[in-house]
Amino acid sequence: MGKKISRIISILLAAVILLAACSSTSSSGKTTIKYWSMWNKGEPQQVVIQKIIDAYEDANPNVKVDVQWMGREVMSKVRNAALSGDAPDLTEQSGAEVEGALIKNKLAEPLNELLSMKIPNEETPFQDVFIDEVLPFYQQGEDTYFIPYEIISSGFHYNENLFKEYGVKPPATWDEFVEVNKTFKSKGLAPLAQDGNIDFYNAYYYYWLVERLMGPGTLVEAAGDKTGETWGQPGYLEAAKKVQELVDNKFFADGYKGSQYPAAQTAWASGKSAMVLVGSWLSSETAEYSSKDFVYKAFPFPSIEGGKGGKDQAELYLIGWVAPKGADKKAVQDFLAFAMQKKYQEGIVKDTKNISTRKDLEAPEALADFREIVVNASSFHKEYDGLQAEYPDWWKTVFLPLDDKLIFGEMKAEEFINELQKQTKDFWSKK
Amino acid sequence: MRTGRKKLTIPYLLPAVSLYLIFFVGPAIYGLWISFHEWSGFTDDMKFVGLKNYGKILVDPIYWQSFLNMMLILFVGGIFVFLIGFLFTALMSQGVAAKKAIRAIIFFPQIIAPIALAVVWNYLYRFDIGFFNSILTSIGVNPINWTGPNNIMMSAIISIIWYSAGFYAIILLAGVDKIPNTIFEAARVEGASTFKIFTNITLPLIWDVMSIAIILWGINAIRLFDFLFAFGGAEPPTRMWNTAMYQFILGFGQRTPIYQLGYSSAIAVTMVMVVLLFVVTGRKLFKREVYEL
Repeated sequence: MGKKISRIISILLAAVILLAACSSTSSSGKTTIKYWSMWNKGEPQQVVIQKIIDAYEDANPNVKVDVQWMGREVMSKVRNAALSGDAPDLTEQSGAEVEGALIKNKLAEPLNELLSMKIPNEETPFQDVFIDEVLPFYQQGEDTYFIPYEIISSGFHYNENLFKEYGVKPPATWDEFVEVNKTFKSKGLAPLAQDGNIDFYNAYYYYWLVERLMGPGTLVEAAGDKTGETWGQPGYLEAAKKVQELVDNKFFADGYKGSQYPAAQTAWASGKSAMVLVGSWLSSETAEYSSKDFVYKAFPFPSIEGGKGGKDQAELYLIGWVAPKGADKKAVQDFLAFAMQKKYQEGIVKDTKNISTRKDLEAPEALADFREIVVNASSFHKEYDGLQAEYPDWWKTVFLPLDDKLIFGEMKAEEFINELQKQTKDFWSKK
Repeated sequence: MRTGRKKLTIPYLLPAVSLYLIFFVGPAIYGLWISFHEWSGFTDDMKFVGLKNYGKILVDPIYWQSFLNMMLILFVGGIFVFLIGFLFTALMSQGVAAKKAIRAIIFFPQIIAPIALAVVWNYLYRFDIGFFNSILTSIGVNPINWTGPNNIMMSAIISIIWYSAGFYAIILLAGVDKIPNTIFEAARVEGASTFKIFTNITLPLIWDVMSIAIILWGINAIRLFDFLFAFGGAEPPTRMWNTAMYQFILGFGQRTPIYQLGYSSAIAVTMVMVVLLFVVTGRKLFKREVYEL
């Protein structure tokens, strides 16, 4: 009896081993690209990317793109997989997150060969299809790790018809901006919409004011100063005073301090406020709430007299691909060259209503102004001056809580700067 | 025979004990080990820093703010959860009609996902078109900024009390069910008031159930995460972080690539200590002779 059982077990084991061997043989010769995406199933970008994958697999029957729709927390999952040596070949996120999570930790593969590869059916070198400065934006030395396909930038959104109705023109300078706010307020319309529960939306004001007053790189410089002394320079205080000016004049819509996203932006889209300072994703997020005569327009953050940063300077917030360490570089580069074809990137514009990084694709109508700002810019800076990637914990635990207090009127400009000085010094002393 | 049984004990225990060791004790010890390091969790490069992470906790204002929020949920939330629970218990032990229906109704919030509840409560609290402010404005009272910086934590606690009270009331009521009705009837015949019946009969006889319910609340309140995280919206503001949220955000970054797994683990260890302290103190405080029925 015992012998019989052991014989059956042996036969079963042999069958399992044989089956396993058969399956590896059937898959051998077929390359698999493991792709973890930041999009969720059903999102417009997911649909566009799925179409690219289907077309690529049809054109390359020996390649399978094994895609998983992971959502925005994809970098945490990539980290865990990287630790167990099981990272995907390809993933995507915003440039700041990719830089902070992978590039700075030397966990990304350079994709330098891709730059000179020809884009299929177009015969154009890969690097030549991008809007100037966009592809090398996250370059580290000679190495290119990050391949952007979507451009986001921030500025003031407004409804052109509403501005006409109130006889107001988009302001170019800070003084004009304040006047425009006063006009709306005097006529009973809340000038500025703000979803106060999102701290990084609140931070747009102070960050942009510092950019305009002192130029790019100055926020990062102050954050990285271990003594905290840099915050003592007058420009930082002036920027804080200008935020306080908006608060003191009650330009923000009632209830903004507790406004839970997306309450304020949907109220703006339905005409309950005049302007909102946020990223270029706003038009696609609010399209279903806006009336038929709503004409999406945008203007860049106003310049400030005597400021070092002009309006010709644009913010670049890029979404793109990266190949984590150990990826099959050849397969990934081949796929990315295929994906950047004009006919597929058109989906980013038409279906996702975003700005493509390809220079030969116009923006959706609602974002035409944003694209103009980016294309005509003389120089670029990262979103929030690159603070998210450079000093993420300082950004999250020092700056954002203090900035919330400033924009909620719980702290005056001088106190804000004093606290920044003190807390920055404390932060670095604990490192 | 006894030796035979002894021989069998180890093989019978082994599967359960090994699973417990591998999936609970092992990771916990590893977490403790990580807390003595500086580590992003991305590379093998773990730097041993001894007790530095624990020293950092002592002077970290965000940690203490999150700790305060955790304590607010634990104690302020706890007081109201059990007050409501006792209220139900007192009423039900008075022989209220439709007992089962009331029980089902008060238990309803527990069958809904906390994230869905958080979204609903956010709508109720909305400043412009929220339920509460609509009522206030309809009676001529100025609207309240429920989710504003000064109120958001209290608003969250009110919601937590609302969805938790039913669960703990049900536990307490299960204890009340053990008490024979004759005891209540005898007390009523003797002329005892509802309050007297509750304090002199119900409470002593459900003491063991109550102590377990309170300890369970403590553990759940300390590690509360999902509801609060969703209630905070797309990017929960720092002022409403509890320690569990702070630990998560430091370790896993969310939208900001922080990734301080070492420091995050140290915070997790402090949470375990708080849970242990609460459980041990609770058990000592509630230790009392159990009345046999």
